[in-house]
Amino acid sequence: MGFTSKPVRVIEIPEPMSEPLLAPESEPERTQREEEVPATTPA
Amino acid sequence: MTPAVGYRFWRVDPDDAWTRGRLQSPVAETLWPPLDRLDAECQTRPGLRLARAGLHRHDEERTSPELACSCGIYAYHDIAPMTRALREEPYMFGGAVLCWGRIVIHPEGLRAQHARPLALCRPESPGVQQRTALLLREVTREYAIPLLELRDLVAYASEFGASYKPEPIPPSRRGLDRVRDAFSWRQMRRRLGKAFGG
Repeated sequence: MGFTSKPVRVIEIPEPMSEPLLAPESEPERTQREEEVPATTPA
Repeated sequence: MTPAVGYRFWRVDPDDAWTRGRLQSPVAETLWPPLDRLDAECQTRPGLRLARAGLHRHDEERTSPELACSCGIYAYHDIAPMTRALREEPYMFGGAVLCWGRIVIHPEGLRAQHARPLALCRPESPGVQQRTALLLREVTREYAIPLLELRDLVAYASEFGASYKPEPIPPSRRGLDRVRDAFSWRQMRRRLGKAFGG
């Protein structure tokens, strides 16, 4: 690899705070609270 | 500031006892450490065309990549130059990288101080896919990165960072820049110096 053109600018980017190894899931996980809600029974 | 995303290729030679199936930079022959970042350094080995003479190699205060040198971890802004290179050599694989630290931006790509692979992409040719399936599975497991279809690579990488591809300079502006350079104070002084034997 190599570039034939001249550099256009230099920037400094701080180290990412957390580096997840995988992209976040698109679908959020169900929370414990949601799972614990009891099913309502008909009167 | 968001980390920079780029696209590059690596050689992975399953028969090389030294590299042992790890990602290797094809020019500098640097091995990328699994589950860790790679740090750029200006290499001075004889015959290696990365380091140009007389720049920052003897100045330990400076950080790689240096603006005037050609050192640093390379990545393209786009996937097209990466895919072109993949067709040229066997056991060359493309993917996305996340870059940060000092970043030197060129029109076609960037040179970074730190980088780590984000994902590899599956070869386009069915024959190559079949031949390298096991190898790629092992590599992606070792680096804990996904193996993606080429069409999904950009979308996936965008989850982690941004492109720093510069806006193209319009042709009229390039002409103006050349004129401005020709009449710059430094150029005029150099010409006057030459004319008067300085």
